[in-house]
Amino acid sequence: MLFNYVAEPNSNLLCCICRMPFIEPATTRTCSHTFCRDCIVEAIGHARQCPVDRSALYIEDLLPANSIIRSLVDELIVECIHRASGCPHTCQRQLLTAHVMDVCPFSSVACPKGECDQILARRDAESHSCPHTRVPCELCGVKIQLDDLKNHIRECTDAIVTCEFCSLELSRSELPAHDIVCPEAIISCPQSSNGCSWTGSRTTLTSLHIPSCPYEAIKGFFAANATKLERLIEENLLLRHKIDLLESHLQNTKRELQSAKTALGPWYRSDGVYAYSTSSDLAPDLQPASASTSAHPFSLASDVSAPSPFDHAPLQDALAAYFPSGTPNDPGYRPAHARRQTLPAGWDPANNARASTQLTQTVAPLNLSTTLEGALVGVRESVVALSGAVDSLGRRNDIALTNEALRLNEEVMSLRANMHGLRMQVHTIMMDRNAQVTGRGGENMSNTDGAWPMPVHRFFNSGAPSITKL
Amino acid sequence: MASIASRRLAKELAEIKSEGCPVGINLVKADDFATWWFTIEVMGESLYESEVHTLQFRFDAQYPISSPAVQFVVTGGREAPVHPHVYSNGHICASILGNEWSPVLSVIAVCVTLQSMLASCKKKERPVDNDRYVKNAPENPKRTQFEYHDDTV
Repeated sequence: MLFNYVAEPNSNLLCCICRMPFIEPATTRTCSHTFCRDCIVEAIGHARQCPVDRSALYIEDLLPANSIIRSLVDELIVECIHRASGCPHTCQRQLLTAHVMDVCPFSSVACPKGECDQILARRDAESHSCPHTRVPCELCGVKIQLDDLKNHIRECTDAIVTCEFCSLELSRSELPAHDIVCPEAIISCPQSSNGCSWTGSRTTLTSLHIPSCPYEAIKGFFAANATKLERLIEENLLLRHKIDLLESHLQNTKRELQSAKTALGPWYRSDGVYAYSTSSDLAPDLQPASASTSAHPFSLASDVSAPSPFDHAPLQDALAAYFPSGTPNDPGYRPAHARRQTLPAGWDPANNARASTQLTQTVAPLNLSTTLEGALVGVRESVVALSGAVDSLGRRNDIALTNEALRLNEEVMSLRANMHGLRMQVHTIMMDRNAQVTGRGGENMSNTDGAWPMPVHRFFNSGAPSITKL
Repeated sequence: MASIASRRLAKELAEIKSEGCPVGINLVKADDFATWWFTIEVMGESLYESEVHTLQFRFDAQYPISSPAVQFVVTGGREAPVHPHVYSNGHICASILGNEWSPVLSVIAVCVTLQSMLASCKKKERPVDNDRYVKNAPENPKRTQFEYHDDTV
């Protein structure tokens, strides 16, 4: 607190740091100089020496000043710090605090009612009408801040209001209930949802409008219609759901069909159309033939195969098409072809003709103009025929082989007999020759002319028949 | 400015006005409690006869606990005295303005001390490190760490 002194104080009572009368004077123990306590503490914080004689000085060296000095400065007369505001009070310095705290009408105090945080001068506090004071609403009794009272009255539930239709006065809380029954309230026709655009007071509604309202007359129809419509909407929803399901099924089926189509390849065709119309590799002159033969397999067979398929038999065969690189002159063809004539009706004779013309080409191996089953049956029949043919061929080969072996056996036997005769002759010759060489042969030498000795002796000596053994 | 500093300066100013300055010292301006100007003149026989120099005091919020910033004014035709402890930029190397400042000293006390410093000078010359110091000197002389080595003045 900064004091204003009424009279110029004695200069001995002035602190030489702040040049004002001592406040809480402190005297140094070492050099007996006196200062305000705050002044000297701050000065020591800056430099640890006495400001007057520069001798070393510490906080611990400060002692409270002599009580005479303290009394002298405490009893100096000062002005109230609110003099500028208008307080003329003067008192001893030590009493000023009490004056300002408790008495001075210019001191700042808080709202005495404690209901707002406003700070105001003490002299104004008594008359202070705090804007935050809570006052009870005279209608509903709820305590409301003075500031908000006006707003509150505008919406207080107990406030008396006037019905805007029938001018009846009633409290605001009853207004909603009244609005429902007020006979003067402007309402719209209950059939407004069906299109009636009438509006009017509640009394005229019952007395005038209802009897004449065209919508009211057919109220029952509307109700029935509404329920029917609702049912239809529900049903519609169900059906839509079903359609969705079916559509998804259809999609699945389509996909499966597509994959089946891809798997079938050229064998796929739509119902009733048997012609393999996209097979551009067919000879043009044969297309009608194959198409018609599908319809009447036998009626046209004579026409198509008129040039007698059997004439071409060695070269053309139903199986030829299966083996595009096969040799047509294979003997195996023969029985197979013969067998082919016993094929069932499903086997199209036209194939024969077609196969013959296409023999040199590499074509699809099967008749594409029939159904898949027909083709499969045909293939199966062909395979059966082929296996029969292979069977009989095997048997024939067996017989031929046996016959040939018998014949060869006989031939070998005769050759062996001949060989034996020759061997016997050579033996005889050798015996004669041997006899000549060993001495007995001397007599035989005359019979020879220097050539190989004849085996005559041998024959005679042995007495063995000269016929060859068989 | 803290009120303790301003009350103390107000008191000093009131004393100057009521009692007057010592001989050779005159108040030039003291419009606020931040900057005061004085003229200082060495009376009697000295090297600085008939020279008038201007002193500038600047006070901060800690006055009188901390010292005022005191220097000679070297602008507007005013010059610093040629003295071994006075730099050409006006800064003064004096211990009472630095580590020997005491809160019991006052503005007038500083003026008188500097007046006697000039009066006792025996040779007019600049400090030996004048050029180097002036080149690097801070604006406020209080921020310079002077070394006080000459006890003769």
